[in-house]
Amino acid sequence: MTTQDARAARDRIALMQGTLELLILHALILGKQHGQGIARDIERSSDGVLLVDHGSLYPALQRLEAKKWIAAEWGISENNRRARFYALTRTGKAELRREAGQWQRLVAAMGRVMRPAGSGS
Amino acid sequence: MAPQRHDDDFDSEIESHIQLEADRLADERGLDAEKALAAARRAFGNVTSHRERFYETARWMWLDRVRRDICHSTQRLLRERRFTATALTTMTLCLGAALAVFAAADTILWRPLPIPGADRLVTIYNTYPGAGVLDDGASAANYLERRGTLPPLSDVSLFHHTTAVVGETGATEREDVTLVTPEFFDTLRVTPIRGRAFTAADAAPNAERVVIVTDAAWRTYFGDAQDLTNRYLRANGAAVRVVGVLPASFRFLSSRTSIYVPYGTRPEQGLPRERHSGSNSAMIARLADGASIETAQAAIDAQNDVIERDDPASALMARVGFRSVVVPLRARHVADIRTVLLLLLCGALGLVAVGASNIVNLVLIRTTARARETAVRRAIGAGRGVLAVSVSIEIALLALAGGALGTAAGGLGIRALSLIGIDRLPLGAEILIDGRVMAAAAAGTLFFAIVMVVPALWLTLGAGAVGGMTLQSRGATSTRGASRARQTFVAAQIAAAFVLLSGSGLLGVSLFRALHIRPGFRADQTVTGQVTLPWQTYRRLADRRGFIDRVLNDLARLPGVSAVSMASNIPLSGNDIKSAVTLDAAPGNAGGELHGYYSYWVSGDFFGAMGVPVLTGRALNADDSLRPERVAVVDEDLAHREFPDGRVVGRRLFQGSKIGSDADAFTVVGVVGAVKQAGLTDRSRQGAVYFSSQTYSDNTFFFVVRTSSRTDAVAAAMSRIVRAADPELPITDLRSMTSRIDDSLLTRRSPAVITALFALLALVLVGIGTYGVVSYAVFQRRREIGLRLALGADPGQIRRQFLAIGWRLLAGGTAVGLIGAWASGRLIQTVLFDVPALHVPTIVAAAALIGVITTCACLLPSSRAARLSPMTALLDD
Repeated sequence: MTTQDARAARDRIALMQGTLELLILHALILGKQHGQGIARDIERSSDGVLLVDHGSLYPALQRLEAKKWIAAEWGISENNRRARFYALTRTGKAELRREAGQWQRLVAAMGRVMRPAGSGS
Repeated sequence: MAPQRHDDDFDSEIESHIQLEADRLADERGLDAEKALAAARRAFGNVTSHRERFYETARWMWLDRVRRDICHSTQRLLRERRFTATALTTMTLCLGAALAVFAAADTILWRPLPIPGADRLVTIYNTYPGAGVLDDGASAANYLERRGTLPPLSDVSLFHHTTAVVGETGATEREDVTLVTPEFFDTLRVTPIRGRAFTAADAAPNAERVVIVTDAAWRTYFGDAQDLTNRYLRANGAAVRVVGVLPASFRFLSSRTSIYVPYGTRPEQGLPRERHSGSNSAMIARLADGASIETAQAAIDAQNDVIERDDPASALMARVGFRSVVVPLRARHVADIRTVLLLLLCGALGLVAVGASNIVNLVLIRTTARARETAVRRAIGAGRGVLAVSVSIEIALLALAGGALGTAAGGLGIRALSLIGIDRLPLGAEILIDGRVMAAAAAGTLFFAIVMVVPALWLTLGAGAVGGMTLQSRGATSTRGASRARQTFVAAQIAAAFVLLSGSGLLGVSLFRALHIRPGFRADQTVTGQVTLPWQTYRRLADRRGFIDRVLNDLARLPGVSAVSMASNIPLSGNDIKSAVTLDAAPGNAGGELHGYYSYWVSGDFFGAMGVPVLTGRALNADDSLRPERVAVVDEDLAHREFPDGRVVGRRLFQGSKIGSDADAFTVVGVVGAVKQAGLTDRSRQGAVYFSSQTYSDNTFFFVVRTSSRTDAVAAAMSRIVRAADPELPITDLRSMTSRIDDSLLTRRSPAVITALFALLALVLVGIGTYGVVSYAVFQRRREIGLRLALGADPGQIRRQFLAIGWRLLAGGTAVGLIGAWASGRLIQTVLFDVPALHVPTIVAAAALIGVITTCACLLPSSRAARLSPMTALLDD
């Protein structure tokens, strides 16, 4: 492993249970994407903080596909490679809105509870 | 459930992911293609475990496991050839035998007849028990009385089996023909597929002669023709028009009739004096909706009471106990062979029990032998459910294979049944594998499956399995239960085989005794044949006499012929007709009484031709038919019953139910020996009268010839002579009396043969079972034996010890078997002839046979035990 990788590995935070599905759905908001692209998008959007195990992406994708929140079909990527592209379905979009809202509320609540001592009323 | 993705699809996706990642790494970090690919793979993680996870979620795992179990089980069964072959052979033989017998019993006793509503059909017959006539059919008068007058019977019909000569001159055949009253097919609810049924007009005296034929007869005479216009047949010399064709599947009970003719009834046949004339017709009727046999019987009895009041012979009828009996049609038709069939079915089930015992033992031995494998599987985490499924799949495969082979064997068995003449039994002609037999086959397969699965599961999942790893090294207590179970099964087998053997022995002795019954006549070198003269061409008595005399003369001139005769009937012909005969009253005699006796009208030298001895007085001879005096001969049974004082010759008797004038009287001129009339095993002494034939007015009779030449040559000559006398007439049923005797024993011979076969199979199975048990006992205790031999034990003693195992089983099995043999002997008493239920020679022979088989089966493994090399036994683990 290069020093770059080692430093990157130290700084990363492992994903919490259950959040991977939400991140995948969000990554597909802008349009269809293949598995590797989804992983790369998540890592980039989090500025390299969130650690995505590429392999465990696939069980999550299978689950989402089983629940019919995403649909898949084979296509050609930017550099002319054959890849399986995933896209949000209508139910998937609704589900994304619902879970995103829940996440925001959770984060806000956590923030209020974890206020540093001495601030607030 | 997600739609099933193929494994390859998933693999492609992973590959494409890795490739894309490699591209990115190459771009961002400037790695070359190879290093980028390696880095991408590292980042992806364990491809194999991801693939496995995908695999697991993407399909039903249990289905996979079942498929794998089936493959493994098949391989294992194919590998263990001896076990699989033995189990399959046992199942095939037992299931095949049981299915063949079941098919026969089902077709004859239970399967619904191809007539709609057959269970509502009854037959009504007149019986006169006091006069010794138990079944006299029904008369035309009965038909006229009951047609439409009794509410419990919605349809009433009369029918009469006879024959007719059909065909063009010189090419005639005698065909079976049935006369039926016009509504007969309505009663059966059968409609001709072409043309029409009979109408009342067809039965009128001067109506055009019409017939209805079966589908097979139509094809014989008219081929594939479809239309009915102007289709004529030549029957008894006259043209008859075919007006209807019956469905191909139609068959009236067992009759081989191909042509149905309207039965015309004349009003004078309804007169009271014709009521008891019998006329050899039979009556069938259909119960109305809501009526039962009892209500029908009550209605008939009530009607009889009213009518008999006006009968001039009513007092006589009451004395002889006249009654008209209503019984279900089918039950009566098969009554004679019902017991035999049920007996055979029990025998087959006994064989199945013996086979099942063998299979249980095999399975127990095999499961015990695989105890170590099972223990290992449990140790590495196989749950009980998984083991149970695995065991069950193996047994299911075996059972299915055995079931399929058994069904095929059953088909062969059914084919073999027809070889022993089962198609001549009532309803026995159409035995085949139908849905019901397949259902029985499925039940049999399920039975064997359960019989195999229960011990296998018990041993595999039982407490003993846990300690399985150590089982091989010593005889652990946990297998003693299995051992005891196995020995019990072998003892049970021996008992069942004993019962089968003794049953078969009883039937065999019965058959032997029946074969050696003296029929009262000399059956060898006697040829008989039947001729029917058509009424149309032989209207006058003189014409008929002329024909008979000409044929008798020609027959007498054949070389080697010592006696010829014409007779209205012959013993064992299948027509046991009795007629009313009244004896002249005399002081000290029970005369004036009406009784039914077998009656024969003979001309020529009947007693010489049949070889019946003359005891007193003289026999009838050729001259008696030419003289005007009416003479008769009685047999010794009648003489004992009617003339106890011994003075017989010179007595007078009358045909019919009352004493007539002197001109009607027959004088008895001699007494002859009694002969068996209806069957060889006739127990009752019925008595017979032989009249000289001047008064014989019927048109059917037999020719009887005694010859020293070969019977088939004489038969051919008889046929030629009859054709020479009249080219229209065939002589039928042409065979020797010996062949008639053989035929009459059919219902005795077939069961004896079949049960003997079952007993033989059971013996073979017992041998295999005993061999297996003793063999395994030796194997289990080989270390102990080796030790003992090494320490100097006597090999003979070892051998005796293991022989003793077999003998112990033999003793136990025979003891139980004796009880079973006695019980079964009691049950089949009605079928046996002259044999007691506990026939000592049979029992002794059966015990000896089983003893020999068991001892031989034990000898091999016992000798092996005695010759065991201590080194190999002790080192073998």
